[in-house]
Amino acid sequence: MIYEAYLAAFALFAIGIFCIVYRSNLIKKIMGLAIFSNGLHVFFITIGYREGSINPIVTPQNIQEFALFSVDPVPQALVLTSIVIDMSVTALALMIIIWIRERFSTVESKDIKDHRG
Amino acid sequence: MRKELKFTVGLACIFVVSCFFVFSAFSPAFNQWEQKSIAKFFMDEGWRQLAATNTVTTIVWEYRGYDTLGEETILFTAAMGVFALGLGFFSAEKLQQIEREKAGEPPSVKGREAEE
Amino acid sequence: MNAIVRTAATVLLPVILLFGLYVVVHGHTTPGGTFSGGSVMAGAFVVLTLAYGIQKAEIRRSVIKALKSIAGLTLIMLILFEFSLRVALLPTEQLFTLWSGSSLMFFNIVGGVLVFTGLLVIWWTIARTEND
Repeated sequence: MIYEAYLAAFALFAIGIFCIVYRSNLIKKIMGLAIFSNGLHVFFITIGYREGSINPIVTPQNIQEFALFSVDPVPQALVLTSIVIDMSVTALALMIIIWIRERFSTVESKDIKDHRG
Repeated sequence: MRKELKFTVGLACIFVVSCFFVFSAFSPAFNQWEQKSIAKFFMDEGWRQLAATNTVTTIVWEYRGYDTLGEETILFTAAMGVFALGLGFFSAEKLQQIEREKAGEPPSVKGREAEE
Repeated sequence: MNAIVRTAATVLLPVILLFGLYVVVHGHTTPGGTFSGGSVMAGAFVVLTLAYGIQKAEIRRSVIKALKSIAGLTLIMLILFEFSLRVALLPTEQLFTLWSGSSLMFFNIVGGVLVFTGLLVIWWTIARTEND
């Protein structure tokens, strides 16, 4: 139970949701999405912690009792996939923002949301 | 008053949701994962069957390989989508410039690179 | 960009590519794999584009797209072939060496090329929309 890591996950989660909701610039909203998902990844990896442990790489020193001392490798594999998906979503969202900038000549959502057509 | 009330209520809601989300880490479902998790099988059999010492790589490519296939498909699709939006970006600009020149206005100052 | 940045980018390009390739190929013994190594390899070309400007530092788009398609098709064929026939392409006797892990090294190389070219396509498409 690492309390600092859970505090960091809580802070990232809250800051991410705050940026998505309370900022009107579209690029800041995308940044908030990235911060929020990174907080979720930190939380997910910290769940698999074990006291007095080693990383899940088998070396000649710890080959005997590897399964008793290593951390959980399953959340790390899931978070690897999640990071790639988050990066793809961010890239596509930024390209759409470039189109919006071309069409409306502004990136503030409070100027765009009342536009009809 | 109304705007500050909305701001404070929103911050309180974000705080409550984050607290609920993080305090779930103190429940026994996340604290005693050694007895109930499948990780023991991966850590015991991974390097015995595959002779690869990186356990995370054996999980990602061998035991959960279809998930990685789907993830690479997502990356591929996102790159294709960005490329298609980039193609349409340049042709839309060129069409607008052609219409503007037909209407008699002078062409715009900033020009972009044309399609090859 | 001035001459110092241009020279440094030209000198550093093969070094960064080699390090990224090392991270990708040794994915089954050390921490790494497709995404970490592919990002490092794409970072070399990002540095080159920032130093030289987008017009001069671009490989032809058809080459990058062809490479990405070939890597994607090879990955799909490799995964389906491996998961259906259960064939070990590399020996599984000794641990801790490079020639180990049944076909994990091929997965890592092909996936690394896919991530590398995909990131390059995204970067060059977004960088070309810049107007100065």
